Amino acid sequence: MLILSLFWLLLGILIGALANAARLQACLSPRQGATRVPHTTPAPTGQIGSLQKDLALGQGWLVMLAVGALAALLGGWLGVLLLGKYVATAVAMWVAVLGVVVVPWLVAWVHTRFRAGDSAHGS
Amino acid sequence: MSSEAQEHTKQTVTVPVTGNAAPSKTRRRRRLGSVVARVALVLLFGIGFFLSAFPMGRATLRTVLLLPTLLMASEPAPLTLLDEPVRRTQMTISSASGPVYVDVYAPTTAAPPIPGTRGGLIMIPGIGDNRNVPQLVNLSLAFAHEGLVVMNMTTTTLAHYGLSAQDSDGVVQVFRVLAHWPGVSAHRIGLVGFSGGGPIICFAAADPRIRDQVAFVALFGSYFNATSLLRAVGRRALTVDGRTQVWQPNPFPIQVLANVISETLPPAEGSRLQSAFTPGGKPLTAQDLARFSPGTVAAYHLLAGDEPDQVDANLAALPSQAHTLLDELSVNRVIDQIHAPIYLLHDRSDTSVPFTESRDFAAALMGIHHPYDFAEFGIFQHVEVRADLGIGQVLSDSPRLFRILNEILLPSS
Repeated sequence: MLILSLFWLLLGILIGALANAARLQACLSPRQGATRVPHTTPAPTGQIGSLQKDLALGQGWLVMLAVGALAALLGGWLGVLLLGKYVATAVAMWVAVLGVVVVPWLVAWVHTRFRAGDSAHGS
Repeated sequence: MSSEAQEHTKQTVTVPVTGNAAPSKTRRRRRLGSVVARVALVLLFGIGFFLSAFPMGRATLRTVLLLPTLLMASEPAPLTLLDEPVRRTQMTISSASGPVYVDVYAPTTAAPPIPGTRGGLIMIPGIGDNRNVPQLVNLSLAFAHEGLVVMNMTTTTLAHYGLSAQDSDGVVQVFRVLAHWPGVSAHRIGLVGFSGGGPIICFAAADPRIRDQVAFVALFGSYFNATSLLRAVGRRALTVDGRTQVWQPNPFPIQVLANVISETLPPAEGSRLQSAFTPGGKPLTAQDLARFSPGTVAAYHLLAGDEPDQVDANLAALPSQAHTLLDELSVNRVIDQIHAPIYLLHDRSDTSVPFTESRDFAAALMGIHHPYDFAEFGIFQHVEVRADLGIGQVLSDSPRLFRILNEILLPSS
């Protein structure tokens, strides 16, 4: 099971990388996740804003790999418990995809709610 | 319009076109990459979900994992990672026709919550005791590793190179044991017959005690009609699509037919006929034949294949008991009583049982509108995978084998 678990982790990392390529990690950026800035918007001219964005995206990239890996591992074990070993990898696959799609969206949603709550309290 | 939006418009307009050419190309590439990655993710999700959430998907996955094990006659090392632990045990079960010897391959873990029960397979690996043939052991382990409980059975008659329709009771008894096996559902049990085991499987599948529970019947290299099999042996030829083609049977089915027919002959003549066709046995001489009854002489010529033009006359000269026995051992008498779908597989160059038997079987099933599937193969030698497989042959036969295996694995998925 150890090798299989490592395989699922690797599969999850690959799916996380695909999610990065699909630019799903953009939602993990607090700035973009909250305001959903369209890609066509020109980058801010100020150096500080650009740096913030890069940092946020850099962390998001790593987070996506971790999310993919963890979701795949979770899915794999869930597959073993519910359906048996031979189906587990298929479960790991779709759960990992679900993870890398849902988690950034969820983070963005929570972030938006949190900020909205803050603004309401502030005003 | 807000002041911010005005500034945005101003910025976009004032940026020189030449300076933006390279970044826009990169941006387009990134966007294309993003679209491709999203499509890949959707595909991965769809494939993973289909293969795990739907019975058809799980059956497909099982088939994908089983096919290499079957074709390579051993399990590829990476696939062992997915194996359920399996225990092999032996048991003897009583039946109306005597003891039934069973090898059981069962997963040691409990059945997974989805689908909640396991499927089962009862296999008769031909005439003789073939339970330890490496390819059968490999196949049985492969099925069991995927979560099925497999019972390979033989009977005293089969072990002594004979064939008896009464052995079908043994299959029914094994079915009952398997139906009560922990985790196994009685409605997910399939019957598989190899070669001469096929007819016995069919007689059991037609048995009113279990016929409504049998999930499927799979026959590999089996015969349909014992008389037409004997005719092919006597002619040493087959009629394929209206043309006659030479067919040279190997000695084993002739030996079995001699054992079967000898039961209907006078005892002394029957044992002499048997010994003439056992490996290393001496052929009967003209003096021997002169002393024998017409029925024994006709049976000898049919089996020896030395009167290919007299086959119909020799068949007619067989004793009436022989005709009754051949009819009793023919599957055509029960096909309308089998309720389960029937899957037929046959080696195109089979020298034990002609592939025309399965063609006749398929034609009869089509005639009565019984659900069936039939595939002819070149990768097998009778019922075993050939050792010298060419890649072209594997590629051409694999889709057919995949289709049939998928149908077989669907009820247990």
